Amino acid sequence: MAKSEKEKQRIEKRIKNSELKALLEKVDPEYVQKTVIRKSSSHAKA
Amino acid sequence: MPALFGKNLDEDAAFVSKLWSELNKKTVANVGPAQNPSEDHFKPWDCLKICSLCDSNSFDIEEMEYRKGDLITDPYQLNSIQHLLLNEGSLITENMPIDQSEWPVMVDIKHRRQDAISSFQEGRALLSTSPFLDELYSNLIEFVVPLDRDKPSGYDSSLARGVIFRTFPEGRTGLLAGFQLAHGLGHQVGMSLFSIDSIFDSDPEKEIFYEVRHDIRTAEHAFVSATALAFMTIFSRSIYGDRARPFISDDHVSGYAEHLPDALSAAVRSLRNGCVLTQFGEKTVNGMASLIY
Repeated sequence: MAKSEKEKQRIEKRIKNSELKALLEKVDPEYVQKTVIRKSSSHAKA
Repeated sequence: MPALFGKNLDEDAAFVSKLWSELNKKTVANVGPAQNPSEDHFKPWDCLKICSLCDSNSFDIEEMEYRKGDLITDPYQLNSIQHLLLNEGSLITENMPIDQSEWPVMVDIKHRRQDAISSFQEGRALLSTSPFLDELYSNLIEFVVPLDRDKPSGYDSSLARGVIFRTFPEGRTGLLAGFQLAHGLGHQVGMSLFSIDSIFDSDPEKEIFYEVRHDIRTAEHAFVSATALAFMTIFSRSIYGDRARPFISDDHVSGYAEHLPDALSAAVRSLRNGCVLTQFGEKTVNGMASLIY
């Protein structure tokens, strides 16, 4: 996470795409309820 | 120019950093001051606390002091994490085809495995050869938990956002550790995208053929796996460049430069053939495909 307000603003300025900006308005932290609990394999190749 | 979500990887890094900043802020707000006394400071276990499947009253997790992005080596902290995984935080590894007793936390890493700590540090340093991965690791990852297992392996959970659980096998190089960290970072980013979009118009739980492993897995699992491959591919390019071999030799990763583009192609094919993607899902999968060249 950005450490300061200035840094946060600097990051926001780099996002030009309006579709991405719109998606950021939809952030829902409750997504963690929807499983998406994943394991990595015993071989890091996949 | 390769990009996952926007016009280039620089915009992508800013987008994901902003996404996590919002996500963590809202998570802390949802937890509330009683559950998170540090108020504006996100802790990975906060994700467990907002999960309705957990009994938040049962939580008794002490505040953990750590330097952001570091490998946890303190035996007391590692024992506390092991206890959490076996008790209040057992949901973190639920549904994973592993048994906690087989993949325990390496609680004595500081005394027994200084080489593993060195491998982690080398891997983290190698990650910084990619500005994209370096920025995301710095902004997203809270800490890394070492696991006690001989094989290169690990797991990542949306209920412990910002934590990478990984092994650092004996006799392996920092290059493998770098791939392990890129893999975990990719899983974490892939999972977090579900906080802004459903990714699939078709059923995310639908089981599809995953060509990379020749197995059957859910669509959302395949998507998260593909994201991890995309991040490994970005790491591979930053280390290998156009060469087929790295400067650092490690048997386990010696074939990655040749293998990863094929694996990522197979993952993209699996998603395109097996699912109906949303507009953003399609854009992301196309972004993964743009990394293959």
